[in-house]
Amino acid sequence: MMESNFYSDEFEQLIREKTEQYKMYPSEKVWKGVYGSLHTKKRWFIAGMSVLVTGIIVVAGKELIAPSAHIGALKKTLPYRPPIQY
Amino acid sequence: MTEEAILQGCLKNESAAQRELYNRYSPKMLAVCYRFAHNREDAEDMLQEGFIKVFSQIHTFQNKGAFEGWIRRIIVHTCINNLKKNKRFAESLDIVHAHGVQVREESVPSIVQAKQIVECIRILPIGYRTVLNLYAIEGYSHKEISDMLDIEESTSRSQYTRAKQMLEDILIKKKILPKPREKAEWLVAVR
Repeated sequence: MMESNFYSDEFEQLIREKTEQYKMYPSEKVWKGVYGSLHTKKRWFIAGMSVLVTGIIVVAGKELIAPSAHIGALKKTLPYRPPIQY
Repeated sequence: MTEEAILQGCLKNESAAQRELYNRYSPKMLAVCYRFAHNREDAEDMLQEGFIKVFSQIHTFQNKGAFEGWIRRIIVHTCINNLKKNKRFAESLDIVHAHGVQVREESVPSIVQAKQIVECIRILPIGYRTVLNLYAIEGYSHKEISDMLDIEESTSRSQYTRAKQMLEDILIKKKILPKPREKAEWLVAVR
């Protein structure tokens, strides 16, 4: 090593000062990774609710447009109620 | 947003407060990771892992010291744990790299910039660099370093002495530090 050890404390101080000044800006994917890891429960809740609501809408729509045989059969088994006459 | 408000928001797992804390400290912390890591990509991975730990352990922060210092300790430990996963890292702590680094002499004296110093630190072999980072920059004692890296205290001391000599040599060759006879004038100029 050439000409070393001439700084001692000054050298360390300079290194510390200069490295402290240095900043780097991370890419957005780092925050996305942090956020994704912290809010997994929220994400699962939203995904679960979306699936549930979509399912309900699909089933309800289907029954409205073409009622299933099961519901038709159910109607037939209901006891006859004569219309109310006034 | 005040630091107290950020802290309270993070304790409630509020994403706005978490983002604010991340925006405030991530540039400095990425620079810390970069000094330990092999490349920028590794540094970002370390940063991500570190911040996940920061947010998940935030309830353990006691208002006794500086918040930044607490975050920094978590980040540094994350970096060290990542390095320790690599088998070569453990080996590098026992190796003496007497002639391991070839540095080209610069012909034009340059102004001392933080980036230049960081890049010169990154030229050092990984074992030297880690001990230098921990001792000279992060302020850990050789005892603490020996515990963190699972090495002898004497190994930490010798690695640091060699690292410092090698870095001085690199900085002189790159004209970032002056030769001894120019030292007095230079110190006035850079401060």
